[in-house]
Amino acid sequence: MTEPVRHVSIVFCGGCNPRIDRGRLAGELARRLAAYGCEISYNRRDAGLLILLSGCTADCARADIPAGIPCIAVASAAVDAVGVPEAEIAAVVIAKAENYLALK
Amino acid sequence: MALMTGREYEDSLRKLKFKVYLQGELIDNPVDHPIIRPSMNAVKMTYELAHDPRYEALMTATSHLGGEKINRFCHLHRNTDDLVKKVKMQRLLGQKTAACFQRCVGMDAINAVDSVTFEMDKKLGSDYHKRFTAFLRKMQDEDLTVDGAMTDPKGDRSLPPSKQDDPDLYVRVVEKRADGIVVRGAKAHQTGALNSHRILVMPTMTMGKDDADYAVSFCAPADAPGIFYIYGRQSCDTRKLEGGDIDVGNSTFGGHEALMVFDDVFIPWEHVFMCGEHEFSGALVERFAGYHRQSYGGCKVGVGDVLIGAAALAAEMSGAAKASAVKDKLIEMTHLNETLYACGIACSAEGYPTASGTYLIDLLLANVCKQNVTRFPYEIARLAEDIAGGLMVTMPSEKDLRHPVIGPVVEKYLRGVAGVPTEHRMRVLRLIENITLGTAAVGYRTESMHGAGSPQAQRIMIARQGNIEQKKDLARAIAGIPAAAGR
Repeated sequence: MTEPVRHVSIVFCGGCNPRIDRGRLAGELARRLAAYGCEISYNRRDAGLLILLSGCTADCARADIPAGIPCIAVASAAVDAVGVPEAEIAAVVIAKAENYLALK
Repeated sequence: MALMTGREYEDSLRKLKFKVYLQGELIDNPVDHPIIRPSMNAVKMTYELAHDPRYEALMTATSHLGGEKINRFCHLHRNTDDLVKKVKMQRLLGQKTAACFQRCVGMDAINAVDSVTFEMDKKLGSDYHKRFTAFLRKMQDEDLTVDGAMTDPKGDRSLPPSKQDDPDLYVRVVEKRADGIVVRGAKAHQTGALNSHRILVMPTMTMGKDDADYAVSFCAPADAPGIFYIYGRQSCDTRKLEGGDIDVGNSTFGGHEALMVFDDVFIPWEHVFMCGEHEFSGALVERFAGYHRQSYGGCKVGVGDVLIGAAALAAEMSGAAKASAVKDKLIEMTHLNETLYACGIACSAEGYPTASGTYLIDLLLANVCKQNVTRFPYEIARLAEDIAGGLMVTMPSEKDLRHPVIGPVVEKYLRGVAGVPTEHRMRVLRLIENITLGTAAVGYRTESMHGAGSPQAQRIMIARQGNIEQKKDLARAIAGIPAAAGR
């Protein structure tokens, strides 16, 4: 019996004034989620889980997100509106993703 | 090919047969000329970032013509969100290049020509908008860079075009044929002309009945027969010929302007978007200028971000970063820069649709934005020079630093705080020099003053849009004075 494909899309804002390193964070998230067998794409809105990476609190990555798809929103140094030191963002997001996707 | 890569863009330019003079010489290969190359790199960045998922949301848009993904520089604004994203994209590109990336002028031109030709067809029964839409379709399909060409040399400013001693001082129609028109004249200060595939010409000001031959708008290949260019000098430009990468300040990116000459150029009718309809020239100029005044609330802010960062680094490298006066100067620079950005965002958020469906910015706020741009970058540059210190303009050259005998002397006496290589200090000071008084100062300073119209042009628009009568009524109501009749 094969495991279900877990499709996670990392959605970027435009990056005009980022307060966090979105590229480095995306790379780390992709690497850690891939280790769980997740399929990673970028800027798609039709995945099983969306990780929204906005560089600042304007949270532009949230624009045009369809209702009903679970999202984890990183906006500046905050995850789902709770402040998180930049170095810890990846760990917080992964913990939430594990919960959403029942990865453990 | 809705989205070209940077490499494909560069290759596409190599296929063009530009006729360009630079410092008195006809040159063969603009793409690889050391003086021109950095400006090509800046436009190339507009292609490269469109393929980077981190920037895709700003750099790309969905075509209203075909529904496919296109570069935002080829897009007509369909809502206020598009207008806001335009400004954010421009700030991003200013940050990535610290230079004028040149492609905005074409985007501003297509948005202005679209709505005006639509209204012309409605009133006149012409087919200009249909012709323009076919041009736009090709621009989007092939991801073309377009130079929006507006400014004529103008000669004696006290005289209209038709009264000039030399009738060619404004671009004009010299012949109408069954298959098209022949144009003559010149466009000055043409930003990015030699990095463009097409030019989109517009009249330079509101034309009257006597100047109908000068009310002309058309597109043409940038290398069309009869068009040639004389490349504009920039302060310190020949440093690019010295072979190093420190003294130029920004060795990768830059901007350029050129004098574009039309020596009896044939334009087929399908590429003509205005020909004598002088009553629409004012609207075209006003809208193009409005969009371009909005643009400066993005691009100059991005370059300002780099300049502020460079000033902060210079202070760190000299050990002055903790001085309260230095901190305060950086705060002031940030305040001024973000004020410009606020104006760019505000005129976009307050945008509204034209009859064609293309959104226009709030013209009052766009003109206020540009009026601030004629001032604030100068103050930001002054503060950057203040923090940088005199060494920025007195330090020895890169060749001195590399010299086997005097290099160690330069290394020793130009060192700031321990642990920072002298070369790094020289690099950041040269970057500040580049933006404030070197090649990039063309874009950051004088273009801030005169680009998209000189300061008085904005003040005229602010006077027109300011709604003083409504303000007087407000004062009357508060002061207990009866309202003016009819208001």
